Amino acid sequence: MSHIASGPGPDRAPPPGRRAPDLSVVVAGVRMKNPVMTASGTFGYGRDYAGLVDLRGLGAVVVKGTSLEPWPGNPPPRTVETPAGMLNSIGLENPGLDHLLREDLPWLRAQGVPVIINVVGRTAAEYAEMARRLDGVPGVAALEANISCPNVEEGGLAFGADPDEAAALVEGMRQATSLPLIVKLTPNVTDIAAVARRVVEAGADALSLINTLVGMAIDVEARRPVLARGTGGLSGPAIRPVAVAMVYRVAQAVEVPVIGMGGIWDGRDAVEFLLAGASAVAVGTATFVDPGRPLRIVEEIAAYMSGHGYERVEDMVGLANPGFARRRARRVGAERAERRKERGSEEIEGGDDR
Amino acid sequence: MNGREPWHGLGEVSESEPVAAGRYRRLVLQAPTVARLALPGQFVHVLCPAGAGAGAGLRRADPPGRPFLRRPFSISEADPASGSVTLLFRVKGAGTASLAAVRPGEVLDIVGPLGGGPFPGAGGRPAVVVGGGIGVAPLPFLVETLLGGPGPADGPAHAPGGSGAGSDAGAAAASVRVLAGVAEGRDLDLLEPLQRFEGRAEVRLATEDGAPGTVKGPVTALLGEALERAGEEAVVYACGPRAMLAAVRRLAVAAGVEAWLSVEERMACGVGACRGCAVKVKGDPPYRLVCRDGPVFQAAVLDLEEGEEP
Repeated sequence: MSHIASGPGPDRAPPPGRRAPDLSVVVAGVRMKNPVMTASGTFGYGRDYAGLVDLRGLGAVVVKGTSLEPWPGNPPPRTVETPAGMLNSIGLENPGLDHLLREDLPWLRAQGVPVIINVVGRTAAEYAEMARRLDGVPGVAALEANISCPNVEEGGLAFGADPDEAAALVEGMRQATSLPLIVKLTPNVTDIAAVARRVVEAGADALSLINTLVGMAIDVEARRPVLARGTGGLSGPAIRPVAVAMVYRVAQAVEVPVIGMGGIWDGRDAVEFLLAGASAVAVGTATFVDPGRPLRIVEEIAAYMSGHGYERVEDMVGLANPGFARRRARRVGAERAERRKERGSEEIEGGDDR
Repeated sequence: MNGREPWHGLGEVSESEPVAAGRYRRLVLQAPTVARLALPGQFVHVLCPAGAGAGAGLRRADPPGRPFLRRPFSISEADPASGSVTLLFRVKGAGTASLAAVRPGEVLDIVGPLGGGPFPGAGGRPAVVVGGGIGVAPLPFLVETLLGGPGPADGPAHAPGGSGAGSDAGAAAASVRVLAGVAEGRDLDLLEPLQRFEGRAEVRLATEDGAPGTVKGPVTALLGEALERAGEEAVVYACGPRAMLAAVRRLAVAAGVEAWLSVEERMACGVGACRGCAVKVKGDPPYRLVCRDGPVFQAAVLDLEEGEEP
């Protein structure tokens, strides 16, 4: 039924005596039953998919980018299909924070799944104000700062493409909340690792990548861009190799967990991101095509783990990324040293090389 | 939650036939839940099979990686008794070509019924139904309901006000006038499902090229007279090209009658999550979603400026 070849390869039953794989992960302090999240902007506030997706089966729901006040979004047309993907220029249409707190969050809380709020603003101060107002709100597991939307004039990509501005924005949010802070990065930069390092220094607990790539489609009969705004953000399987490469690179560059996304269609694709160094993944455009995708991906990751003898998700993270694995080994060494120090040992150990 | 959530599953194709020399296609799907829940104006979101002979004989093989997104199709007829849902569409691109190639016995992955704003009921008033081109697709279901035919037993409130056709005893119309048009007489087959209402409703056809048995000109040329005869209580329903909808709205406003227009826009998710299928409306917020708030909107709220007269 799916028109894109899928499947994590032949399922092999775990060898006798081996337990079923444990899919749970903890990312930035958020405990999730599995590593599969929804990508912001592709799942609304969850309710749109009620009846089509059992939210309890997800690792976390990341809601649509939300601002202090309602945003109207961009003029239509806002979307167009492209090869193995689509362009969107929604422009962060959203009903605003008050609506989220009044209508959407109470409903989401009742679903029994961690909720991560994707935050957008026109200025760094608005991002900080969002963080302040969401701090301590029951039912909010973490914030995800969207500094990477390509479809708005102010905010979004304008922050994420400049390491200094990105760092200042994250610092402001960091001071305004004690919630775990995830920062969603744009691929529309020369060196994503440089931006990644700066926002981690500024206080990010985890990074999400990638947001969409800037793209354009032209109607050759009308001789003008299809999207009213001209450009849009490209998503879908077309961008997956770009996303995998960026996750691979950023996972080597920072010490915090990376959440990988970009064109994931099936469990095999999700495993690619995990092996590249992502601690969790998010599914986006695939859900539009087939609402059954996210939960099927959970099953397919489990089948891959069983087939290959991995008991925990973190056992696979970064296995295809030697630079990441070396870095993790050093980090684990440093943590052990730290623990020994805490126990009162006089011994001086080499520390983190960051 | 309310028992009206859309259904997602596989529906078997029981009939597939070319319409107007294959420029259009009529597909009948077995999808009992969709047939039971559907209201006139609602749509199903269909996953297009890739490669399944798509484009055969047209130009070339599928473009790589397409069709990718689902395709929304109005429910043309819904029969809860047999569990069947009929779609009528223009074979235009890779997606519709692949669907046209699906044979009876094969299955399609569908989500539906979708569309939070179906056609509202007529409440016993005279109805005038206007369709242009492939915009006639949802009208047989609407006309059947307006005539008090088989329809769902219950329905949700219409988002912008009023209640869905078929939602209560007030769905039926006092009388039904159907005005339907195509540009070229060679596409008249498209109007056949509406011609079948002849006798139960007044049916008038128009073609731009003046084919035999039709009035020459745009279908909206028939609307003024129909509105006059239907009277000031009339309620107008329309689906078709933007320019046609703009003309319908102008005439309805001039006659001081209520009008409901079904519109389309490029769509990704079909359920309201992506906010992709926005249409401009008067008021604040300035956009509404075809999938969640429509596809049927009261003519007065739509901002059709870009689509006014060609």
